[in-house]
Amino acid sequence: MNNEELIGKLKSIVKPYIQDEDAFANLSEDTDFINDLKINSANLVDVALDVEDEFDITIENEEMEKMLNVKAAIDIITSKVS
Amino acid sequence: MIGNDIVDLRLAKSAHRWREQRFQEKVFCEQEQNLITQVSDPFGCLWRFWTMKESAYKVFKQTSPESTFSPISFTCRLLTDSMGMVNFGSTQYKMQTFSNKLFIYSFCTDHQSNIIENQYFTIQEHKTKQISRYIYRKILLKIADHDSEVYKQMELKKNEHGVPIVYYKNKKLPISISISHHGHFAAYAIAASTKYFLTA
Repeated sequence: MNNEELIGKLKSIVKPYIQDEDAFANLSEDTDFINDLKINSANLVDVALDVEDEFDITIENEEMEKMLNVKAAIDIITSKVS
Repeated sequence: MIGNDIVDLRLAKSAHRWREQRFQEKVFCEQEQNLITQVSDPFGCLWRFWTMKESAYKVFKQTSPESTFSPISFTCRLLTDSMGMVNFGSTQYKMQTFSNKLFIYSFCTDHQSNIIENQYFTIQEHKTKQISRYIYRKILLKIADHDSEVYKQMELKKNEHGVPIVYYKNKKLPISISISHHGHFAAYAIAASTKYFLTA
C-alpha cells in the first residue's frame, strides 16, 4: 500500500471525529489531529481502535500516545503491516 | 496550574467506543477497570475517571509542554461522590468532580495555585471556531472584571503546545487557564500561583 492509499484510508477513519472541515479538506502528512482537525483526546482512542480494525494490527499504548498526526499514524501503520 | 475537563454524557454515550474492552484497556489501569465493572453506573464511573485523568494531565502539561497524554498512566482513586485523587508518577492531584445526568465536570490544581474562578455552561454554537471565540471572550471578560477598556487590551492565545495563555498589553499574565468543550457543554478554570497572590 502506498502513502496515498494509506492517507485515503486514514481520512475516512478520522472523518467522524474531526471538528475542523477546512483542515480536513486540506489533510496532508503534516496535519495534526488535535491542533488542526480538533479531534478531542477521547476520540483519539477511538481513532486508534478504528486503525487497529482497519489494518488488523495492534497499537501499543506508547504508540497511541504518539499517534497525534497523519505522519506519525502512517509510520506506525507501515511499521506493522508488511 | 489548573486543569479542568467536561464530558457531555449524551454525546459520550454515542460518540465513543467506551463499551469495548479494548477501549478500556487502552485508557484504564486494572483497578479502574475492575471498579468500572463493579459499580451500579459503569458509564458514569468510566467518564468520571476520564475527566479526572484529563484534568490532571492539563495541569501537568503546563509545566511539561512537550509531553503527550498517556491516560493509563494517570491513575484514579475515588474518595467521595465529588472528591478523588489522581496519581501520576510521584505527583498527586486532588480532584473535585460535579456530575448530573447531562455532564461530568472535574477540576484540580497543583499545590502552588489558587483557583480564581471555574465555571461550566451550555453551548449553543456548532462551529468549533465560534465556540472557542465565545469561551475566550467569557474568560477575558472575567479576568478584566468586565471593564471594557481592560478587556480591549487583553488577548487569549494557545501556544504551540496548545496551552492557553492570557496577555494584557501584549504581556503574558502569570495566571493559569484551562478550557474544555465537549458536545453541548463547555467549561473553563482560572488560577493564579500562591506567590502571585502574595505580591499582588
